Amino acid sequence: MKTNCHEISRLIPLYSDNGLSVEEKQLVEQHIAGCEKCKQEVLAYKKIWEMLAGIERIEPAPNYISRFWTELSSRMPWHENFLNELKTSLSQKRLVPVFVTMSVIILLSIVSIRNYFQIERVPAITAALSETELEIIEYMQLAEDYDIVEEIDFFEETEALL
Amino acid sequence: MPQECPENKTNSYYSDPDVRLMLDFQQGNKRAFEKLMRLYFPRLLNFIYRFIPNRETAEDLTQEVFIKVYKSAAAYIPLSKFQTWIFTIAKNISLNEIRRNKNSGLSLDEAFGSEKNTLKDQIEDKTIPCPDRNIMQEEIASAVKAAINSLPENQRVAVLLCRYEKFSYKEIAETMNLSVEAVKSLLSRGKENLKGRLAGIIDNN
Repeated sequence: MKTNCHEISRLIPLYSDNGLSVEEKQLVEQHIAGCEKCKQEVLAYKKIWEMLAGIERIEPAPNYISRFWTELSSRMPWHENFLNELKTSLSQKRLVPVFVTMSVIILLSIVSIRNYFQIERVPAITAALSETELEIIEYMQLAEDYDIVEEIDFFEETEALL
Repeated sequence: MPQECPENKTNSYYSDPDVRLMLDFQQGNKRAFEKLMRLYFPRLLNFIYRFIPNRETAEDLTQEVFIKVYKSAAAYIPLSKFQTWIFTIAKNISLNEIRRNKNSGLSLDEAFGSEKNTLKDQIEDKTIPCPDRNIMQEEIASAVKAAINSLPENQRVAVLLCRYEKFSYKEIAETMNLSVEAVKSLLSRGKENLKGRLAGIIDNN
């Protein structure tokens, strides 16, 4: 059955960008093979589609990525910026040794400060003790030393036996 | 045997490399976001520029698209291809800007030449006896821009996505939240309108 121009005119606009099904495409092709008017229509749409490609493209400004980050940080509250920077830094594996070193330094500083304050408190604690208590402490220290000496003697004797 | 990721079973969009980049960014990878910017910024800039022919405004609006993407990263769930999603944002931002300017009485179409200087006037300009080829090309380009700009919003979006972004009808339908049939109809009418506007040029070439 021969299709009429009215039916085909409905399909022609989509023919130029391959928007038709295989059957519809065949219908158009069969029809324009014998109809000069519709063939001209197809060519006109094709030409328009090609003309649209002639519009120039613009390129973004070279610093568009850094501009974006600047704009973004100007819109965000400072604490969000700080957290984001921290997250980004942590996600970069090459900064891991830096963070580990910093953590060790912080830990050592905390321990040193704590020990310093404990040593500072010794004279005050000693002053508060009675003479008997001081003697007991002295004996306890002597006893500890004696244990150590005994252990050393034991090992030396064992070595001599061997 | 390695287990298949459960995401892949339920959501085919996870195989889209750009969706993967967005998900990487969601995990805190800033470089993934910058890669997306390098891929999409120039495309979106031109897409928006064809709506709003002012370079500075188009750059600002493109930046706005990426700020939206950045802010919605935490809640991002891939429900479409990444390009469909980001072009939907760009389309909405562009249309909002056009409406905002219409309401404030400003015209964004001036760069394409005012309506007084119609295509017919440009083609039938007898003051130029033998127009240089480049000038002719420029005039054609400006007539094409004006013709695109004269299309109703929906037709314009469909034509731009189809012609310049090479979107399939299905992708256009997803971007515009329409059926494929509606997209076909929009494109048909859009092309008919363009043909009507550019008839003079076709006849003269």
